Amino acid sequence: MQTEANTTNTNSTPTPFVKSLRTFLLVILAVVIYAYAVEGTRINLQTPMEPRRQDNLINVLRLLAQPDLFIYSAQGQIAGLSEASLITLERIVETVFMALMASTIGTMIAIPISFVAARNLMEPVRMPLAGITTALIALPIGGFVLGTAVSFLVQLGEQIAALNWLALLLALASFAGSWAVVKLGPELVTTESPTPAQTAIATVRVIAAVTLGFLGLAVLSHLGLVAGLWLEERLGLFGFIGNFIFVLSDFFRLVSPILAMVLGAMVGISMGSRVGQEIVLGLEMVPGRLFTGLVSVVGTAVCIYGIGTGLNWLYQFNDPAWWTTYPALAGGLIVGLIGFSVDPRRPFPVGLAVYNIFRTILNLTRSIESLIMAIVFVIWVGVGPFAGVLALTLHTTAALGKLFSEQVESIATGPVEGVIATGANRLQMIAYAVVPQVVPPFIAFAFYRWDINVRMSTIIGFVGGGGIGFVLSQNINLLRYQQASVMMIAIALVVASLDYLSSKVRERII
Amino acid sequence: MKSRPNKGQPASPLRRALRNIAIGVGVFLLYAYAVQVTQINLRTPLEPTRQERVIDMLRRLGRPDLLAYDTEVQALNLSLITPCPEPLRGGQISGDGRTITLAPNCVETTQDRLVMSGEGYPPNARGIIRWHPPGTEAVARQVASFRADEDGRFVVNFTMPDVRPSEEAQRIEVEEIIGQTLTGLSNASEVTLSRIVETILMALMASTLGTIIAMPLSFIAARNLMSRSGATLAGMMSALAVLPLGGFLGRQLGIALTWAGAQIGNQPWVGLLIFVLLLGISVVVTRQYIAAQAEASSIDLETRFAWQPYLVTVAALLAVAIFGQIGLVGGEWLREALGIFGFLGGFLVTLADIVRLLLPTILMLVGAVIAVSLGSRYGEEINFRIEGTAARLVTGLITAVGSGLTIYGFGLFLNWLYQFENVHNWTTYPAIGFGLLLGLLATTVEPRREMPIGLGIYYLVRGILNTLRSIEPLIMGIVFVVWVGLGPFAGMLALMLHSIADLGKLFSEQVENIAEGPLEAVTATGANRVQTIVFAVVPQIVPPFIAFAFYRWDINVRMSTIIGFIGGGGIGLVLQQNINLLLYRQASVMIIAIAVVVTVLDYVSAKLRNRLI
Repeated sequence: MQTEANTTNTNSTPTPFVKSLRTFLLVILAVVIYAYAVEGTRINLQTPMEPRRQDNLINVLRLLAQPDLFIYSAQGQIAGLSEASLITLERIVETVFMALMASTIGTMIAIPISFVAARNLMEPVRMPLAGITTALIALPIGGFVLGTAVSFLVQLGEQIAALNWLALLLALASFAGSWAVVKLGPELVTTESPTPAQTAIATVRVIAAVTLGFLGLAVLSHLGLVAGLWLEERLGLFGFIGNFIFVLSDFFRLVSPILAMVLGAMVGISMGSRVGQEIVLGLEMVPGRLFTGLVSVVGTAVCIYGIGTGLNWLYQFNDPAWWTTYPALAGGLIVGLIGFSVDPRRPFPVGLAVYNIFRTILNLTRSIESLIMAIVFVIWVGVGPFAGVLALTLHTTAALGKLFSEQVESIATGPVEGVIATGANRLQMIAYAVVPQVVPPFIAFAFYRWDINVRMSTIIGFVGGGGIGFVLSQNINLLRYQQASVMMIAIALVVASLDYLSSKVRERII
Repeated sequence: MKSRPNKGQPASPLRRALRNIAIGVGVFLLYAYAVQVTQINLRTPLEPTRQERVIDMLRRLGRPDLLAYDTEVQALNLSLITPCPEPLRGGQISGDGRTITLAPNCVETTQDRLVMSGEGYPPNARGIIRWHPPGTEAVARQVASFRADEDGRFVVNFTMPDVRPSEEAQRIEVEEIIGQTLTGLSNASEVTLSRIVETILMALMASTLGTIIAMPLSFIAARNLMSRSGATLAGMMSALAVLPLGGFLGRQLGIALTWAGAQIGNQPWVGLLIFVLLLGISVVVTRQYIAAQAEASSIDLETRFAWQPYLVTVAALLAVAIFGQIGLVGGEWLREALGIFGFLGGFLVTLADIVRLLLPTILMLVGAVIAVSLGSRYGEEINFRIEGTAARLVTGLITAVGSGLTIYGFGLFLNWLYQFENVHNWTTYPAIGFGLLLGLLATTVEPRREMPIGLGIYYLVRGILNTLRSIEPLIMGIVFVVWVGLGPFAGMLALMLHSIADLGKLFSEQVENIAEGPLEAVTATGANRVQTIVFAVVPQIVPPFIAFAFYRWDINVRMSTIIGFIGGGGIGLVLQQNINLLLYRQASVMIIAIAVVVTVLDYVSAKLRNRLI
């Protein structure tokens, strides 16, 4: 039509001709995509209309419409719940509790991760190269020291726990000792700036108090194993309390060395980076360069060696030195040269790098459905609800980690600036400016996730992850549709009512 | 301490402490029970055999079977005896300076451990151990792999994945890998590629169809739109009374049209000509109508265009019916003519199929809706024309007929589902009984009183949506697999149904959240219900609808990766098979593909959403 308008400026709106051409092309593209999609998904309307298939479906629907809820007496009276109903009740409870455990544990793990995966918190974290590489050197040291110390304490606790009643007394004594170290003597936290000697004494006291307290806990956890088993036998119906104590003690015993290792690594990073930074800031240009270059060589080499060792564990290379020692040396030298050549005080955006790594890991983990994770966990811990809980927990952690960190990113900056202006450090800033802002959305998302987990736990049994899905798929495979119907009804009821409940709770909390 | 505080004041410390203790104990018990029920046991994952198994799995997952190699191998064969003879023995074979020993050389169960040791191999030589099951058809299966040390020795512990007793000895082949050359993508990668495409397409179809169907539903499930519509009892009941008639007429029309379309479309060229002609008529008349609408007043429009809308409707319907036939013929022809673009022909065939199969059903629905609309209007008219006792009597009569018919229809459905012994107990008798009863009750009601019929429909639709939404697509998929067989079609249908329910709810919540201002303004101009929706509601809800459709597309992509676990097509089916056969390296390719595709689509959809809103 108006072909002369073809040559209008690119900034103005496109001419009718160009617009219609674009629309036409888009329509063609959509047709081709959907045509291919119909082919690819093998949509064929003849299949569902085949008489045999329709009979099949009608038969199934009729059976599903008559759920096997009750057993009847000879007179046709309802005599009680059917076997299918009883199994359904038991399994639906299992399903709900699977979701509960996964949501709780997942939320707890996701909260600290979300702070590390929040761009606004991590972006300002910048550091000279010396700080970063010193942190890398201190990381394995810290992890090793604290991990070893805690395993030693746990073992010591086991020795003491063999004394039975005396052990209980000793545990109480060590708690009392810990309390005494903190309370007796001058205040640990003072407003006046302390002398180095005072700081040293305070540090020693804190370490002593923590060690004593932890030793008490270690003894208690070993006693808890015994007490838990004892209670499980004695309490009858409430035996689950004994089991809980047993599992908690077991958890403490098995996981605390690992947690301590992680904590030690974090302390190592924190102290290493501070030390490295202080040294480099206190040095002149040339010694600063030398120092930076030196710690860069060592730090990078340690880091690469560690990664190489991990890879070698996984892949079991023919010649491990090619993956550990040589790349560590080469990488160390390269980064060392860089460290020598850059301005030693120039800050590097290390926070951003950490943020990107965490976000990527979260996104990749999140993209794998919990059902696929469950297959892997079933191979590890066997068929049953535990595998389901683990799979749901992992997926929950990844999904909530992302959602939570997005919430942290969208907080108002006013309170943060206000708290920083008072001279607060990073931890205080998070505690007083960030946390109060993120608690309501965190709770809302945790409930939202609990909804999703309830839904997921109804189907995670399809791959052996426990819950009602397991028996449901069995019943369907055996063509026992009346029994399957009971389970589907139970799922619909439970999911719909928990959905309603959680939305009410969410409304009340926010 | 005051243990009885006044109302409105904070609770006393004692009470608060008590409450906190009670909550604490409750939470403790809850989690204690949860730990018991979910069988959380930290010892299981740490058992050495389990750890070994999971480490082995991780190591194999760490080496995805991405590429295919042409391997040059050198094989030595041992024999395996099943079941075990007495006494147990071992087997040994030598060749090329290599010696292999298998002890014992027999198995009875899949738990039996076999130990294979070899020596005389080149340092660090690698290879695999295959088992040839009895029978000529059976495919050799890999049971273990080995790697020699610096001295050319190796020892491998393994179990058999399967035990098949046979008369003659079974072959165990030890293949040493001598050289490898890259030849392209591995079998697993190719399967993954084709399946991941299928997965994405399933999600695409389900999201598109689900969105299209959920949109009209969401208006019915929106409280703010529905709570406005009320009707008098007579209007409501006459609508119910004529509903089946409208549906029946619509269906008959659809059948007749399909028949006519089939007759005309049987001669493809004539059919195509008539199809184009009818479309042309429809387009021309519609254009005239729109042009006239722009200038003429509405009264003028009604007199000048009394019959044109009907003409357009009939012409368009007939054209669609003809398409149902010529699309079939033309599609089949195109499928062969177009080569790799043959899927375009397939698309045409499917579209024609949809038209032919669904036209009567759709027209039935349309007929029912028109009947309801007309019925309620004339029922209300009656009410406003007459008054007093006569109005009450008429209302009662209409109510008796309307409710009787509805109950009869509902009874017929129940009977179809349950196949009762005595049909009349569920259809005729309750229809007559309740019809009469409700008719009598209706005479006691003020005839012009508005009944909140809209709210009733709202609750009904919302209830259905919520129930459907709570059943996972995987469970729906099982039913669809029974119906349409294994494959992506079943998965697509399941995802579509769940998308409809989910989007129906999300969309209707958006409709409920719209601003009242435009609505009141458009209503004030004298617009009717449809015009109000088109000019006041739709512009407000398009952005959130698009956002939710994309959100659902994300969910559907995730779901379609696992819907194969129940036979619903996509990558899930092969993934599960691979894992069950312990082919972790192949499974690893699929898991990586899922992670990459889901992450990328997630990112793309987030970007698109940001741009569109």
